[in-house]
Amino acid sequence: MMTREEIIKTVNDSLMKEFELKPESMKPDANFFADLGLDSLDAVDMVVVLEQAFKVKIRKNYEVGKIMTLNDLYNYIENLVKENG
Amino acid sequence: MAMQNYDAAVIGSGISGMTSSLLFAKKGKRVAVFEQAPHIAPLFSGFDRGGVHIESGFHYSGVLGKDEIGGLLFKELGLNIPVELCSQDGYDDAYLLKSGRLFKFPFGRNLFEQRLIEFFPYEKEGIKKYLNLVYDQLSKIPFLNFHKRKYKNEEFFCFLDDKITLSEVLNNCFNDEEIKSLLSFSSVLYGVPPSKASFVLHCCCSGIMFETVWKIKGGGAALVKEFKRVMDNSGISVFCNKKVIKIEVEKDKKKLTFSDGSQILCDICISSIHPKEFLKIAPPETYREKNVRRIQALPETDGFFILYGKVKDGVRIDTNNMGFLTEDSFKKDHKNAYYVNFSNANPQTVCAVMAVDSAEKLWNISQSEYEQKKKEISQQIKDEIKKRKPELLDQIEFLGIATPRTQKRFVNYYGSYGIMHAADGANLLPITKVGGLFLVGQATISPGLIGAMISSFLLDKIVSRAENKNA
Repeated sequence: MMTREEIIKTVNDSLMKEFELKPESMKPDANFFADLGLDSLDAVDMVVVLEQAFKVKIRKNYEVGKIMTLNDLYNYIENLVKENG
Repeated sequence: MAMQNYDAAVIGSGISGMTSSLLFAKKGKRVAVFEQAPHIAPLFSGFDRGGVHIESGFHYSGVLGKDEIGGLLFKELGLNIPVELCSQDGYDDAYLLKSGRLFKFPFGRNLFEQRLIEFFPYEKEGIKKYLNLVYDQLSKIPFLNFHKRKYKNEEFFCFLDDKITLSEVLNNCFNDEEIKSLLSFSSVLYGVPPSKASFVLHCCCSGIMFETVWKIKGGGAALVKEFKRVMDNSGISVFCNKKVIKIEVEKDKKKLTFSDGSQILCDICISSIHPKEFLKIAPPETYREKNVRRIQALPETDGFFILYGKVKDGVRIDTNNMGFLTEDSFKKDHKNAYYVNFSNANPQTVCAVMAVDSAEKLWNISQSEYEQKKKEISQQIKDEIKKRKPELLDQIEFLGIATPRTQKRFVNYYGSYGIMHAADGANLLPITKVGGLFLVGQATISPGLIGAMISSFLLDKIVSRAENKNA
């Protein structure tokens, strides 16, 4: 089972690589859209890279729509990994 | 001579371009607007022919009351827009050809619900279910509840990304094809067929007409005139016949090059033009390559053939749209929908409209073929009216026909609502990968007057948020 720290690291590494984000911008309260400059087109690729990194299926459902910050994403992935655990 | 330098340069002077220019001027910025056409807001302004004014871009809208989102946005911009309510008992007429009935669209939930039940008593349960779904969605859409949110409220930056289509919802609520055709008729007002429109989009565009429907006194041209007055008072420079052909990034500045060879510098550049046109002039680093391809692949909304004219003296027609719905209008996704639109001006003008798929590319044909096509389509529209409501032909004096190609000449794109907001595609947002280079307009957020204004207000909040964080 992955620890939360491992999840955070994997999420950050995947996103930094895909979207060329700087490590200092990866703060837990960073808003994807307003702080990280990721738009809804990027969201498509975000789902793909996270699915690959965590070997999970991320459905575009209402829960995903509520993810606004990195911290929301860590929580979401943590739950998903637990469910699949 | 030194290059002119602006704090903010806006490309395009449609609703979103004008709104953005005012919002940046309010921040104390030195703003310039560049329009390729000979005059501002060409789509919204309409045009004059045969001594009458024809509306090409705007007929009516929901939520323009002073306590509603549209009215609040006007007020925020310092615009004094005189509006009047349409007839509550029936602002649009839908002819249900199968059952030979005329359904007058009312506004106000109770009235609407009662009338639907009166027409379709066997669908009572579905009607209640459908209206509940619409109202539930309306209460959730962030931008319709925009005024309640501040940029500090993170929820503001959350966008509903619903994949359920209008067709799915209607099929789920109803068995009767006629009511499905009726309730999806308004999809012609945002240019996305029911099978492709997300239910959220439908609520953003049509659901907002469930409570109130307004006309602007003097029409679209009056709104543009009021925008221009306030822009002049705000010290905004407006340049027409000024087409941007390249945007380059130079250190912290953007350099704009125009078709006449002139150049300017600006700190912030806001593009309000069609996103595919924007891609042609934007620096390569604006989007990731994958997203450039996604934007290029976005489908266009339908274009319109508009057979326009004036209503003859002594005749007054008291409805906005007259739509003709067959039993399979819904199943056929309202393809090539016909409707007739009447203005509230005096003399009263009329546009008989036929939607045409932008993919048909009628505009790539030669001039003679094009002239022939115009004649054919004019006759086709007249034949359709003759079949449906023959007395109209005696009441209208037709003056000419405008096509998607006509629109392209003035507005630079074919589909009336620009890019199609399809349920299976992603919406564009105002940000790009280049700091200080933004995108507003119908393609971001939602189409139409309200959607275009909201996109500019959203950008304003993004910029305010960033400034606040850096302070």
